[in-house]
Amino acid sequence: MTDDILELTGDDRLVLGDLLNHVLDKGIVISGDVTISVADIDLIRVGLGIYITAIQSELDHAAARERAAPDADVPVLRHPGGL
Amino acid sequence: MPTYLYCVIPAGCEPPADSRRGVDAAPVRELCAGGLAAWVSDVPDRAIAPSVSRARAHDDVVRDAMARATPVPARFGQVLAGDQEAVALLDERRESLLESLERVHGCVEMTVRILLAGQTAVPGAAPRQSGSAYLRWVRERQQVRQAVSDQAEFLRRGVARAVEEAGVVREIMWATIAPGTRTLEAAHLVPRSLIARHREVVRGTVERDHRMKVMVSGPWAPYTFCAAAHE
Repeated sequence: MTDDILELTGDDRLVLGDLLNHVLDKGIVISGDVTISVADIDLIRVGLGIYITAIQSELDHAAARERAAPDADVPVLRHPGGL
Repeated sequence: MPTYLYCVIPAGCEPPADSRRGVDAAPVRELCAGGLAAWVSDVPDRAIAPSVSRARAHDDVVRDAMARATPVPARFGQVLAGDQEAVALLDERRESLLESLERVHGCVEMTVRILLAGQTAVPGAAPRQSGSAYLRWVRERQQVRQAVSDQAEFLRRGVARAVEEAGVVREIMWATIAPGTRTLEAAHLVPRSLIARHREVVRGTVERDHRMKVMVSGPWAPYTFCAAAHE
């Protein structure tokens, strides 16, 4: 179902940042005692930080590429283990 | 032994394969109660430190469950005292878990990030040389913040209208824009069969109509939509 999604090759930081954002910061909590330690928060912040930095960098590069070749596609991410 | 929870899916789906491993390579198994199946594994201790490899392992198990049905994914680090507590919680939370399963049934989560155009950075530190300079700085800061807010709201409406009219989204959850950033982020709950069409509509709306850049990641398990229902 995702065959036509372009992969952003060679930039695992993007996938990693989104992975951490989803797994560490979202999802159900049914027991009510998931404890977020300082270390957890740091990891989330690091994950989001590299994600946002990388995505803005990639978009800046995409804008530069588009100026050079206006018909070029903007990359779309896909998790390597997609459905 | 403590029990680590990955996700909940409807009972009756194919259970995890014997070879399926989860956090710290522990075998994954299912616990059933009240029409629900929890995918779990043993962990040696209730305190489990997050790491990249463990986060990947968690998501890999959830993705495996997605091959069977749309799961309600658990947040990383949900360790219960044992299987007995896990089954008891399935019973206790049965109604809300069934509601979540129904809410996300047949869907995946797509993350949409739009890079806002123009000046979005609040001017640097407040000047101290004069009162008028300070007031100009305050005014400029307010103008930038207002411009970001107006632009974001315009985009929110435009994207929401486009995906809803195209019928490619079941729900949208927008994230608050962090101060000083220029990224507008949303989670879209998208029917599995419409992933490619959803991406086309989002890109067409943002890039062609609004002339801005957008990135779409996914498909993910519906972490965002399930989180909101259980907090």
